[in-house]
Amino acid sequence: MKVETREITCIICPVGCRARVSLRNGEVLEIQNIECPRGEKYISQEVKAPMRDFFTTVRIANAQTQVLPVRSTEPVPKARLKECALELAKIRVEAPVRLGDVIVENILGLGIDIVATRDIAQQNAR
Amino acid sequence: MIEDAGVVVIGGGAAGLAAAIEAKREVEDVMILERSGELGGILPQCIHTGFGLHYFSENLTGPEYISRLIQKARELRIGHKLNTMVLRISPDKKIVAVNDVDGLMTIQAKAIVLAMGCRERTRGALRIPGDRPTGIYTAGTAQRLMDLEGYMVGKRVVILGSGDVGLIMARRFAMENAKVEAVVEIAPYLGGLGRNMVQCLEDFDIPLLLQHTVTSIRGAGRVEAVTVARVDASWRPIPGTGREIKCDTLILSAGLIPENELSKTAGVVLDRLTGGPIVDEHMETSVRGIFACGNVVHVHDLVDHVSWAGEVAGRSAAKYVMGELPPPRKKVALKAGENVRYVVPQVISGEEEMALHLRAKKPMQDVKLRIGELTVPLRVVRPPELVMVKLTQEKIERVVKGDELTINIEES
Repeated sequence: MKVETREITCIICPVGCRARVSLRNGEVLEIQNIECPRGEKYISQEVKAPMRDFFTTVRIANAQTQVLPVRSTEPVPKARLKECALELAKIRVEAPVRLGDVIVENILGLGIDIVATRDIAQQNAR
Repeated sequence: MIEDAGVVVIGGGAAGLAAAIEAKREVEDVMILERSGELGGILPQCIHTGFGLHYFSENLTGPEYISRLIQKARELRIGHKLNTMVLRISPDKKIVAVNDVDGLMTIQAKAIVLAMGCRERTRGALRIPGDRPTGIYTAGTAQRLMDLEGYMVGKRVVILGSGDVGLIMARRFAMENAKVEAVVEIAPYLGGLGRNMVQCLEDFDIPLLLQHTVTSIRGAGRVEAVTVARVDASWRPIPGTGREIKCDTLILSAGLIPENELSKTAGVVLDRLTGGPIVDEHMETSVRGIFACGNVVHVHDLVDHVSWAGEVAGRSAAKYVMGELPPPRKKVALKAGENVRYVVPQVISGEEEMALHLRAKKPMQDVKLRIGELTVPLRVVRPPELVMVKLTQEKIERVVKGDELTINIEES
């Protein structure tokens, strides 16, 4: 079976190592030009099923601001990022909200929660 | 009336908060003056992840990162005035400021930390000809409108400049179902971090046009199209290469400028290369007792480095107030040499351990950073990525000879 080589830029940290991966039938044979274990893990995942951090905003009522920033507790499959965004476009929350509050539990059945990334006080509350 | 204060920090973002927190560990009287209605600087609107990998050893969003510093400042009971605009600072550290509670006030500080951050280059600064319709935003303004204020700013977008803020906004627009027609970059290389090429552009099939620029804007009322042309080796548009791209929004992400109007009123000497104050290894400026940190000194790519610089400035300001920061016995000027755009700090005593920050002029591979007789091998240098080297006291003393030290990046 033919050995395929791919160049993949690691996105785990700002260094952005350019890894060279050799694959046979989609199985990783070797990863070169990357030194850290987190990067190797990322590259192995990236060739199988790419995952990305998900973040967006949701509408919030009773607050000084219009939107609340949120994120996924774990990376979600890259192919489902937009689905997640559409799901959150339907959501309305009410202030007060605390950083870490779960906004959507188990989004799209992925086993991943969406949480608030900041506190937002109720309007006029000090 | 003149109010007396110990350490006054101007700006409550990632640099100012870190500075205030560190200063407060040593001296009681620490105060932050913040122009906006909340602490946090730019980070509350940076809703994406990738912050704090170094500073907190965690992958945080902007709001999460800054919440930790705000929480710490609250625990330490650091005083702050919001909605407070500083108008000028005198060399003897009198601060004139105004807000809607205290009115016009004068504060006599013992030490000042400048942490005002930076601002974006606008259409005027870029001198783009054409019509003057609505729909032209700097990237940071678009980000503020979308992620703090909840407005969608456009549906069909061209982004000029491939710096990180522009790339991040390309992804935000794509995620919100806008069409990003292109990211246009005048340089022959990406302006932002490599990882943002992948997760912001490639993930969403957004084309990157290197060695191109926007030469004209067309639109009556709202932007209708922009003209994009190739540029030559000296970055001048090549006649006859222009083509129109239809869009309703042009986002400008073409550089950030340290915001130093206040520094100038205090007589602080600025570095022509960074646009920020000349500082020493304690982040002290040319005016004794005035310190500076973060993007006001030079534009950083990572907030982690901004907060670290804030810590140094805050500690130094506290030491100065306590009389523990004597003037340096000697001054060694650090100079940007071969392939180096700038170096921070620009002046050192040559007697203490320090972190050296520098930016390369062009992308290079397998190079040697030369600091006097000391060399540090580097696999890759790229202009968007700050190079940071920690030097121990022993190493510093070994390389400093005379009153000038030139830093070079050499091909191996």
